This record gives sequence, C-alpha cells and structure tokens, in this order.
Amino acid sequence: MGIKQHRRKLASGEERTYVYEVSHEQRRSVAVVRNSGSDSVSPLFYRGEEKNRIVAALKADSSLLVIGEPGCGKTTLVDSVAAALAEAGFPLATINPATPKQILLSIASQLGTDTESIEGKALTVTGLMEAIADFLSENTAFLLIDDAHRLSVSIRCWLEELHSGGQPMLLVASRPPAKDIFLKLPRIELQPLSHRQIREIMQQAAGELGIELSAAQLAQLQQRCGGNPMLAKRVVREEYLGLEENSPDHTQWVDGTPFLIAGLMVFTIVRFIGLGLNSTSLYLIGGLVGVTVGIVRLLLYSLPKKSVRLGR
Amino acid sequence: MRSITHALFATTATSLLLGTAEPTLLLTGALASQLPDVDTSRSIPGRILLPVSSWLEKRYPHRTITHSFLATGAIALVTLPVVIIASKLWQALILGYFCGWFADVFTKSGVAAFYPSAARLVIPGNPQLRLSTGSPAEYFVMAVLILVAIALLTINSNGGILRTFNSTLGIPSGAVEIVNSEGSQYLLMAQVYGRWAIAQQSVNEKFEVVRPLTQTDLLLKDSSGKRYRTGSSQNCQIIASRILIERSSPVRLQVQEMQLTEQVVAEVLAQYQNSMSERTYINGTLTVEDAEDLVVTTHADSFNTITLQHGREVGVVQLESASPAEVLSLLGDYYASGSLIIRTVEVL
Repeated sequence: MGIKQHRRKLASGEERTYVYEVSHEQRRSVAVVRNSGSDSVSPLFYRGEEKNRIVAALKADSSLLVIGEPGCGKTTLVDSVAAALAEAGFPLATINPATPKQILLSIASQLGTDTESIEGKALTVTGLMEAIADFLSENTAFLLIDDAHRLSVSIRCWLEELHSGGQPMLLVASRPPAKDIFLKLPRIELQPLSHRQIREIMQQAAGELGIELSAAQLAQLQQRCGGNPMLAKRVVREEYLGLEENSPDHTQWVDGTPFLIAGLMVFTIVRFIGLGLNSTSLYLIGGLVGVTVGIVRLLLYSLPKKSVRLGR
Repeated sequence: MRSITHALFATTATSLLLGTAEPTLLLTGALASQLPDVDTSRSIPGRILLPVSSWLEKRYPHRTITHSFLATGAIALVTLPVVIIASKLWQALILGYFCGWFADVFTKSGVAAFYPSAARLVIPGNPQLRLSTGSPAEYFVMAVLILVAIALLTINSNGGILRTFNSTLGIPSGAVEIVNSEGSQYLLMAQVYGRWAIAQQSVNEKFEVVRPLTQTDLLLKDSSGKRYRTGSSQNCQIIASRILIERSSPVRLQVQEMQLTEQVVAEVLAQYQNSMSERTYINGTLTVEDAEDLVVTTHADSFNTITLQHGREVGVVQLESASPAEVLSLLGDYYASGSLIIRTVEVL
C-alpha cells in the first residue's frame, strides 16, 4: 500500500495534482484531485529520455536492463515508467525484492491471477510461477523489477524462462553480476546527472527542509555528490542536521597515484642526460631521484586500499 | 586546503622546477596559486573578484571548472603575450596556477581535473588517507613545505641543485664543473682531501684554483706558488678523493695575446709588465733558437709548467700556466718565435 502523487498540466493551462492510493487489488484508486499551487512540490525528474526509450522498448515487446550506481535515480525511473504504462492502460506488476513467495504473490495480486487452486488451497511457489506464466502468455502485461541484483536465483531463473518465452520486462539493478538474465537483456546504463541538475535537486531539497543555502554553500556541498541525486538530497540533509563532512560516497573518481608516479619517473631521465653529458654529478642525482621515486611508489602502493565498507 | 598551504606549495614547486630563488617569480607563483579558488566567494580571491566568484559558484560546484587542465590551458593561452616580456614570469604564473589546484588532489573531495568530465582526481585512492581542510595533517604538511621551501631557496640562491650537490659531495669531476662555470667570475679556493701520488702521504690542504686541465683534473697552486695537478687521473701529483670548491672574491679576467717572431722573450714580456701580477699565467708554444744549452728542470712532485723538446738547433717549449718569473728566468735571454696567451686574474 502506498500513496502516490502526480502533477498534470491540463489543456486549459490549469495544473492539477492527483494523489492516489496504490493497493494490492486495484493498481490505483484516485482519491484526491487538488488544484496546483499547493505547498507540495513534485520531485524533479531528469530521465525523460530514458523513460521514453524504455516505455517504447517495452511496448515493442523488448526487455531491458537498466543499471546505475545506488541512488542514481533508478527507482524514480521505474515509478515513472510504471506511471506511463499504467496511463496507457497496460496491466503491469512492479516487483521489489522479497522472498520468492512474496514476490510471486505480489505479482499475482497486481496482475489479478489466481493464488489458489481449484480446490481452494493456496498455490505453492511452483504453482504460482506456472499460473503467472500462463497468464502472461495469454495477456500483454509488463514486469518491472526494481533492485533486481537482490533477486534470488529461483526468481532469476524463472524470469529467464519468461524472457525466452518473449515476455517483456524491465530489470533495474546496481552493479549486477555479469551472468544469466543480466547478461541476456539489452542494457542501458544511467549516466550521472549534470552539475546544473544536481544543483536544482539540492535547492529543492533545501526548500523542502526549509533552510536557506547560499550559492557558496551549495557549491561547497555539491563537491560530495558527483552526479548522484540521492547524495544531493543527503548532503543537504546532513547540512540541515549540522553533521560534519565525511568521506564522499559517489563513485566518479580517478585515482591519480599512477599519474603522480609516472610524472616523478620522468625526472629519472636526468640520469641519462648525465650519462650523455659525461657528468658524474647529474648521473648521481638521476640515480638518487630514481631511488626516491622507487621508495615513494613502494609507500604509495603499500597504503591501505579504499574500504568497500562505510566508516574507518 | 587553506590558501596559505596553496601558496607554500606553489612557492616550493616554483622554486624547485624553475630552479630560482627570485622573489618576483616566487611571489607570482604564490599569487597565481590563489586564483583557482576564485570559484567560491568564501575564499580571499573570491571575495576580491566577487562578480566572477558569484557567477561561478551559481553554476559550478567548488573545485571543478577552475581546478582543471582545461582552465590551466586557457590561462596559459590568454597570458601567452607575457612570454614576450618575461618568459620566466609566465612559467611561474602557469606553474603557480597549476599547483594551486593540484594540491587539492590530496583532499577528501579531490578536484574535477579533467573538466568537462565530472570525475574527480584524487591521490591516494583511499579517502581516509586524504587531507581535510584545517586538519592537524594539513598543518603538518604546511610545516614540511616550509622546511622544503627554505632548503630549496638556500640551494637555489647558492647556484642551484647541481652546484650544491657538487660542492657538498666534492667529486673531482663536479669540482671541475664548478670551476668551469664560475672560474671566470670568482677566485676559487679548493679544499683537497686525498694523497700525494708519489709520497703517498695524505693531503688535507687548501689551494688556489688556477684552471681546469681535463674533465677530472684541476691545476691548483699553493701559497708558495707551486702548482699541482689534482684529480683522479694517472699523471696527477695529488690524487684527490674530494675537492670542495669555495668562492673567495670576485675577479676580472684579462686575456692578451703575444706574438713573437725571432725576438728576445724578456723584451717582449717587458711590454706587458704593468698588467702582470702574481696571478698571471702564460700559455702557449714557443720555438726557441740556439737552444742547445737550454735546460729545463723537471719536478716529480709538482706540475711542470714549462716543458722542452729538443729539435735540431731549436727547442720547442710548451708553457702551461707558467708564471712570468719562471719564463723570464728560463727563457728571458733567448730568441724565440710563436704565440703566447697571457691570462691575468685580477682580484677586485
């Protein structure tokens, strides 16, 4: 159960906000229609192009895998694709990772298939899988799977089977393993957002928290976000809570250590210049530089590597 | 990083890479290192150039566009006309700017060095090991930079890294290099550590440098005026393990050429008498007539400034940094032809 909100601009120029409930039985039931100008703001959405491409691909019976780092806006993208497909009137099932049974029950309820046998007994996992597969082979419906990298093997195998049967589906994952279903689907990688977009998200987040951030503060905070909208909101919240800066979590890094060492290595040429000019001193200095660079390299490479876990 | 750290880093790098201790260049480097931080109005350059900084900070995150190879290249291009006036100044400017942002590579959030790519360049890869602004580690780096800067300034004002290396280590070939480059400007003294080639006694004495002979040997003179070939080659009188060169006083060199065509040596030398001093050295080759009775005594323990080869009726005399007194006493009365170079070192 959840509450969703959409903002529409009507032909008359009036803006309306639809707030509706998403339930298990009915996909959505419109509850409130509000005229816009209300205090609530719709979240910024910058992945329009990707959304259109995905919707078009799904409508053309193709499946897709969307990958991107955590927080880069995958779930938002799935939601908007779901909204677009629902608007076009297609039945669909949105799946979040859970136990296989829960997932299958959720799909069954969203698509409206039976969860019980003719004798009134609850279907087993295999039974549910078959029932859903049967339904999908007879009807056009879409499966949208968020956080697909967390799916269990059984569900992945089942999805793979559905995929080879021609079932269109959208898998969204961050750094999935390069195997089975993930390898078979055509892939879109979500690119980091631009500086301007991240800045807008930060401004909106600041607005929602009711704090004023100067351009200088935003520029300072934005260093820690990369192109990641989740981090953009998080750093604003950290500023709001007055937390101290910790190590940035985005993934857009270039480790300059090899460049530094290569740059220093250039100076060992002095040794050969010394050799060429028959200057013992230059030769010695070049040798000393060579040894120093060797030591620096040894030390730099023996430093502990970046931890994959948070904190020290 | 604090602006003072940037300035120190840039000063050190400018001094090291340009090999200079000139205040204008170092100051240019230090000032240019402040420029990248113009992208935030919180920094000093940002406050001075407020319109620029507020324009930049509205559009770009901190440490992006101004902290990049792109901006460095652009500034290098724009300021290219400075090369015509002062190329060193331009180098210091670009180096200072580069160092200004490159130092931020060692901070937690790094710099977008490859702008327009948003990827941030960092060294080292582990964020826990990088600096954060105002941390104790930054003050430590600052202290180290100050020490390095002082050392570099001393070295550079002493004539550069190579000169300091040579004068500290005292390798004979390094001493020759110093004499080659400074011999015409300063009277040089050489502290020699080694041994006498024949007597095998150890030497730890100070000599005056006359001139370099080969790439490894120097001609030195002691207080009594005796010359010694000193270095590492076989025919040296002093086999030196270390030669430390010191500057004594500035000098002016005077070089005169003397032509003799069957003239009496003493008469010709007399013409140059008033320009001669105790540091006058005569070089060249003379053909001496009626040289049957001419005898040149050779010394095993010191350098032979005059050598003689007997020919038929004539003698060929080679002079190598001979003093006028020696030449006069030995050849004064003879008729000779040839050309001599008289080198006089005048202490200012």
